[in-house]
Amino acid sequence: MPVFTFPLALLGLLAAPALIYIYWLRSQARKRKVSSLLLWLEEKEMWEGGRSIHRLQTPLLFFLELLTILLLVIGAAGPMIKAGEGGSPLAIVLDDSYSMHGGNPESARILALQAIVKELRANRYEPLRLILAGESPQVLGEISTSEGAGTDQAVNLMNAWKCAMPAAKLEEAISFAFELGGERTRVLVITDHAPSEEPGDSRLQWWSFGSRRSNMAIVNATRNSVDLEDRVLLEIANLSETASSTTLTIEDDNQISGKTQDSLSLGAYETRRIILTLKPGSPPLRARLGGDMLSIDDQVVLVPGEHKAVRVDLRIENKELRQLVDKALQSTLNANTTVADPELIITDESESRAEMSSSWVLRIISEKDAASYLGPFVVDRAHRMSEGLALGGVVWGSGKSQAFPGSPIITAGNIPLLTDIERAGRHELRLRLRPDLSTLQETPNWPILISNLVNWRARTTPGLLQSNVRLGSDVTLAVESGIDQVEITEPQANPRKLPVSDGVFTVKAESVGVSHLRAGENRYSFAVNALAREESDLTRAAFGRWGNWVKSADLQWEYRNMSWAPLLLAMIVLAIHGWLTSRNK
Amino acid sequence: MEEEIRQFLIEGEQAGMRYSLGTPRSTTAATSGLQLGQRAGSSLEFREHRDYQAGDDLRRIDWNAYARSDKLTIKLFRDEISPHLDLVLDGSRSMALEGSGKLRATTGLAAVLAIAAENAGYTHKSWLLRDWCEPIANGSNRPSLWDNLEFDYRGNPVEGLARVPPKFRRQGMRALISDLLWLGEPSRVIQQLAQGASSILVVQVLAAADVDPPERGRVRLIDSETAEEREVLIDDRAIRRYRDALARHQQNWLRACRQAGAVQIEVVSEKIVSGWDLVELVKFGILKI
Repeated sequence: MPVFTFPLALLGLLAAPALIYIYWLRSQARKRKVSSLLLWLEEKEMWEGGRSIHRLQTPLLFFLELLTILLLVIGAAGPMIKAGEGGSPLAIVLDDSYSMHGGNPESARILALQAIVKELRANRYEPLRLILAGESPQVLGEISTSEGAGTDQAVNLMNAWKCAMPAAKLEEAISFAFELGGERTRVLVITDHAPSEEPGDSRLQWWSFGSRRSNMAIVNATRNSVDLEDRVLLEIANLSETASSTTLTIEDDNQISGKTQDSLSLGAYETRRIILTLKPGSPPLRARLGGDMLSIDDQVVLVPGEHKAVRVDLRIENKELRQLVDKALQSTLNANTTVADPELIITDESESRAEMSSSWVLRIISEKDAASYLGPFVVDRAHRMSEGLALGGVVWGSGKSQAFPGSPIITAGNIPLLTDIERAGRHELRLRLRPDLSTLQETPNWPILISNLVNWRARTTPGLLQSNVRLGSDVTLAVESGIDQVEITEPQANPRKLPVSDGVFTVKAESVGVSHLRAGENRYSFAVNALAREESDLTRAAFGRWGNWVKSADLQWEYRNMSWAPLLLAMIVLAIHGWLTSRNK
Repeated sequence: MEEEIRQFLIEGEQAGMRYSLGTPRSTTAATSGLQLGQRAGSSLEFREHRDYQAGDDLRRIDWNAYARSDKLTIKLFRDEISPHLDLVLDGSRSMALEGSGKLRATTGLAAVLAIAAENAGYTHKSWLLRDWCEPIANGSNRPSLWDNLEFDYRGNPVEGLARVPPKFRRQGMRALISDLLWLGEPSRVIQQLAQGASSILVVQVLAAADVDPPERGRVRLIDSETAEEREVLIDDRAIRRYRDALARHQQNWLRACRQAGAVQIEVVSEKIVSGWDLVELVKFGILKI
């Protein structure tokens, strides 16, 4: 099947109806009174048998002109045919975000599926790769279409295309597809919005199947245990250019406290915040909006959270340093200072009794022989302690020796500033710091550093790190030592067992609703909610196709330009037309 | 319509005031004398002999000459004639063709001839040729007084002329104003007119559209008399064929007129009514200034 370099030229076919109209006007006989028909008797009437040369002549010229228009338009559109029999490699990048469900039942996903099937049936691609674009690219499968059943295989594979991600990182997926496919591959992006910039004449085509719609959504929902009560925050947004109203129903899963239903009227793009206070240990709370074009964001479930506070023992003699640490700990919210059975010891002693316990230790070492370092700071970004640190402009006072025990996490040149020693799952961190020579404690890096440590420790204490998570984020469960598998039961799915790594079980939250975990004898529940404002906003959706493979310089060698053929035929037809016209004069 | 025709007649009257009727340069073969008298006379005066021609009155054969030469010869006399004009107007609907100047030219020319005849001392009588040749009311008076002129006859005027032969004045001049666009043998009409006439004038009034069809393309032609329709494609070839057909038709009439010694002239209505320039009629000797 030929493809066209300039498909817009096909608009020239509008000349065909114009030609038909002209002939129609010409065929309309004008009325004229004459003195007598006596002298017109030799002229045959138009309807007489159609054997008159006039009757034959006009339709023939008409068809020749019509054919000429058709051939010229096809020639101008630049028909290209494939140079060989082999299929071209194709990677289809599928937007896996939940906005693809917008407009159900005529959702972007369903329209896209139909278009993909049509494309695969019309053209041969060898091999065909399907790549899901979610938080990160994921290969769905690779198919060889040479056996003829490629389309069915592709449809089967695409059953796993659920469109349940809170975001689709298409750029990453596109780069991945090009890397995976090599130089010859072409990439087809299937999504519901227009590209940020026109793909142009590249190996990329962008097909969007979305349509602008209004949507009322719950865009934020949290539940925290604070001061012996559970606080619930709901944010409801009207993602529309016009005011809209809906109903908000709030109920608990156990039907204990009954159901409340309120009508909610919001202006264009208005967000309403609702705060509820529940008794500690209240059952899961369910909030539901009236139905609209996207159902996934109309409901949230918030299960009661397990407050995991880390017991911290502060053993710091230096009063000034103690104040700094204490202030940073207070800002973390999940640290309780205590001396009994501490999980984390922060001390300024060079050696301590803590070495013998299971507690983690942060040893802050203030050496006498010290200097202020402006950098360059080298940070191990893979380490949990380095998350969120920005040390540019920081002055760090530290000892000068290059030899220091532990794996360096932060160094100033070749001077280690923060190191980590791990012994049987227990960490001992050493922080070299002279506050009197530093500005570190005056920057946000200080509370971040302490918070990273507390969070890291909290993650390793048995229990869920968070009970209410957003779709697509990680669910982290620290398990007791000796447990190497956790059983997970997601909504409408069978239980499955997954391995534990270093005492921590981590799984991606991919199913909206309440899921259950079983680690040994302990059971946990967590709720996953679709809370991505950008995905719920359907006003930016678009329908269209961008990009043209045929124009791509990289792929032009696969095609042969056939413009000459229709243009040559058009010239022949015009010559016949001219001959007929001159013959009839 | 009546007022319009009267206006045309007055227009023709005014145009004809400066002319007098002349004698056409041919005379009828069927008449007894070749030369027409310029004024009224009472005696028959021998003029000459000529060979017998078909249609000549057998009573005029000179049997003495036949005995001498074994050839049929007839005597021609300067005959006594009455200066009278019988003016016959074709009352067909086609003479009032919409969008043309035919009605104006026909009635105007009739008025010109009538007034020119008066100026030359002729009496005149006007006739309207419809289903029969009927006298026009007040047709012997000045044209502006003529009444009941109606050009709406849908039949063939030849039949009308044959059905009830008009009582034309003997030895008078007869003029027929028509577009001659009807089926039938022209000589039948001419013979009818020539019976006892001293001279015959046939004025063919055609519209410009009759001479040169202006339109090209697909045209539904409607016969102005019969309302019959015919859809044809008019192109250069069709127009050429039409002109050939018109020329052949005119040739037939011309041949019939020549045989009867009648004079036929063609006028284009739109041309003649724009200023009433009658130079063609003067050139043929029909009108004299």
